[in-house]
Amino acid sequence: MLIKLLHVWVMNLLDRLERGPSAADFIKLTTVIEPVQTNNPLLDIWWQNCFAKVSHTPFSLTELPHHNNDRKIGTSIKVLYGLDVREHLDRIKCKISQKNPLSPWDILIVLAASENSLQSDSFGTFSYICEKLLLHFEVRKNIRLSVSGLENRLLAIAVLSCLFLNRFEQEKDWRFFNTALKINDILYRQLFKRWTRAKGQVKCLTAMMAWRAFSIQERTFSNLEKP
Amino acid sequence: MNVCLLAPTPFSKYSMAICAMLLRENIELTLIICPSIFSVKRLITYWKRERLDLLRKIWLKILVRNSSQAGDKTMVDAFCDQQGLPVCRLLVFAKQQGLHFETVRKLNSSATAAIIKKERIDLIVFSGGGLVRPVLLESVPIGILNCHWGLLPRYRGMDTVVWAEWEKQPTGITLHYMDKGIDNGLILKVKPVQRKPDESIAHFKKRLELISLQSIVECVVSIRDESIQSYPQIIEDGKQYFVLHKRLEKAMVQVLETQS
Repeated sequence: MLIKLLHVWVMNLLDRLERGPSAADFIKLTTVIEPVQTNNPLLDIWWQNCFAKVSHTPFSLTELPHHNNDRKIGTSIKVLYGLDVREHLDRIKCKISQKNPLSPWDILIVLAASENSLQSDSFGTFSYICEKLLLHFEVRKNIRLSVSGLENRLLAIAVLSCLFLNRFEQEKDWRFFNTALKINDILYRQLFKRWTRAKGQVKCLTAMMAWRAFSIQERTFSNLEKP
Repeated sequence: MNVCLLAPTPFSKYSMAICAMLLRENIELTLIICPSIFSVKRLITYWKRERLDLLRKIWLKILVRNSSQAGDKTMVDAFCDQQGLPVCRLLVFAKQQGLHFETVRKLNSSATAAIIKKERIDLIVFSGGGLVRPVLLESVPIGILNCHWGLLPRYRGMDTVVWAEWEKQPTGITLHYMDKGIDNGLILKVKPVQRKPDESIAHFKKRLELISLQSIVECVVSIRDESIQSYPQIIEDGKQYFVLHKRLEKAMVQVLETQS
């Protein structure tokens, strides 16, 4: 009898410890990260689009944020504009197959590609990249990045989560939703602890992506848990 | 044909039952290998992969070994009682039966491979204990037999029973030889098992555990009698699945059980 009681107590304790952030936690954090002042009209439009259509936020390369004052982002976008989606995907596929680290902007390009109607050869490359990123995250519980810094890491995982959720919504492949949940748990913990330390446009983009990821997650769960 | 059993812990009742059943079938089980449970490196690796599931396993499989005391009797427990199979530690069983029992610090090491080669083992039966690396794969002429929960090649990886049920696809078990990849070695036998109407997922998993125990023994007998042929699987026919997120698993199980 004593062992049975102890067993129940231990199992309950482990369940409680294992429980990640709840739906309420995610929604609460979403409201904290929501009001981001960007002083950038393009970003503001993008942000409003996120609010308007959470599941179908129109991402395209032309809508990527561009700001003259932010040299880092500006340079990145300039580099990105030099190639079309297919060339970008080939470049990223090459990086992945050679086990080279990615930048958050690479993942953002894949996300943007996922929103466009891709031709069959590009779609094959895109699927390959998604599968490899999925496997890589599941094995390492992290992503290998070419840039250091908390902001970049936060942005990369937020964008990766959005990419997987997009893939889930398009293909109804629940493996991507499953991994996106694991990423969101990490993202939640990081944002909760370090949100105030992040700054600039990267913070803004991260907020958009995290908001989008948490919203899709909670909406999917509310549909799933509907009686 | 000399057979070796790889057990995850010396307390594994599943491994214990396999050993006893193999001996009943006159299989020449000569060696039992078990990785040391006190290896810090092993604990760290498991902790990274399983987190609190590791504590749950330690509690259930090591600290509360006689799970009937905790009110969680498995079908393997009932089967052992019914068949009069011994319930003791593997080490004790090995001593009673005069088998060679070896605790190794590292499963995938040249030292373990040397022990296997010294005993002239032809076939290894895998009943848990982590990933198997080439050093061990190359140490036996026939191969390492594993029972995967899920139908190969469609469902590779983890939690495939729930994944298959969720995708409304048939599930069951697959007996296959292990190789470098994850669940992509030569297939010996595919055994579909259907979940009964109103059967909970937890009960279904317990039933699968018993079926896999019996199937492993049957398969070893067939390999000895050379009455079974292996065939390669087409990797592109399947996908790799990963451990389910707890919240998603709970929601999926709830939906599946409500539907049935």
